[in-house]
Amino acid sequence: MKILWGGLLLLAAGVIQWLWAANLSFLGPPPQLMLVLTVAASIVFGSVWGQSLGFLGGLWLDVLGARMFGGTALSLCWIGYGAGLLRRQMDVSNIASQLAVVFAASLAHGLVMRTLGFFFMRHWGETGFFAFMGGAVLNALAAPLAFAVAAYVEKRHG
Amino acid sequence: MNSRTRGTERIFLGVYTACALILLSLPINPWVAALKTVLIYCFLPPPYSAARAAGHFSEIPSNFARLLRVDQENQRLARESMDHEVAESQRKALIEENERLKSLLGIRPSLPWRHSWAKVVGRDMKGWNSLVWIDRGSDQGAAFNAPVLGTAQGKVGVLGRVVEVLPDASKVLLMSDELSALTVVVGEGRWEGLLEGSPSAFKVRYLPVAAKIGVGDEVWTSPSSLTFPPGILVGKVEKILPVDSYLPYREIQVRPAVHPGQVSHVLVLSPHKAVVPEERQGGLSP
Repeated sequence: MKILWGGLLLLAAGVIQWLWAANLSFLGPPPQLMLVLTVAASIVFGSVWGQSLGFLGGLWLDVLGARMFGGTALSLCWIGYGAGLLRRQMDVSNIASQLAVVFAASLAHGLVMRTLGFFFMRHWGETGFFAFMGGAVLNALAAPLAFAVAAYVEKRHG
Repeated sequence: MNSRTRGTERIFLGVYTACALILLSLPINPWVAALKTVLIYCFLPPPYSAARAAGHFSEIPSNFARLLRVDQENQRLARESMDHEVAESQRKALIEENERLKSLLGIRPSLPWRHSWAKVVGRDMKGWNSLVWIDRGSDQGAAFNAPVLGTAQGKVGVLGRVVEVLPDASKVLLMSDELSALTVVVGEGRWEGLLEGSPSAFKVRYLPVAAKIGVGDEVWTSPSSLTFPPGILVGKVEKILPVDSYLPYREIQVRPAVHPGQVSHVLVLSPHKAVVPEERQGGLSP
């Protein structure tokens, strides 16, 4: 049952991210819900869940994208593993810590993607500093909802 | 237990990392391309379906507005339909009154016409614009002298008349033949004249010199025609010929509404058989 819920959450995150990008582009780039879901799943369900959702979600984004097939999957998988390690070190039950963790994860994801881009495409990427930080803030704002949904699933089917 | 969980986590991390690095390192490998294609087939439908669903939802307000407009139009059309029903009942009453008055005056009632479609199956090689053969004969109800109409550009116009009837086919003398003639009325003034056939342009004779006729006026069959029902389009005035001082009438040229070369199917008219009441049989006839 938990696998089904995980699949549904992944599907919902991908679809919302796609629809936002397609219909709400005037608000800027959408929050990276796959990343937020990966962090939330990793902290609430466990590292293996986070890595799996991150890898599959990243692969989905890579399929929909045009460049660096496998890059997002690798980055989100590592983020999931890192969030799983963090779970043992700090309490992530309050909203402030959730915001902080997702914000940090967003920065880490951006850095990993740029590094992978440099190694595999000889290109650092062109996202500006403010857009980069703005995206991280947007991801952090989506964190409480993702954690609440993950906690609900864990409570029902954990 | 804790070390076992950590081991599992590391195994998953290693497997996922290896898979991702393979995909990253071999982007143009056939196996990676095939995997990507498979994943596209698996992953693309949900967002596409969601986007289509979102598109449908976004159309709801405009569809609702259109539904309201259609409803208003429907109400308006319903009111107009009622008006038309009233007009139709008035028309029927007028027709009945007309028939009654005609019977009182002893005027021969005008007969309704029925029509049937026929296909042009042949042309006279010697006179291409003189006559055509159609696939309706006496077995199908075609009769001698039956009017034949053609269609061109959505309009029905005079084409000719049946001059020879066989069981399964008929010969139609076209208006463009020089032997054809027809009484017609011209323009708003309904000036009556005799139209004579010609391969190039029809000619209408015996129009009054004082008749006010302009180029482009329409020419219709006359009520005094014995062959054609009145009010069928024949053509349009193409040229007004100068008045000959020795003749007491004027002539015009008419461009046919239906050119015989255009038709592949024709309408053959025939009047319904009149049911003349006994008390009317002794009446006057015009």
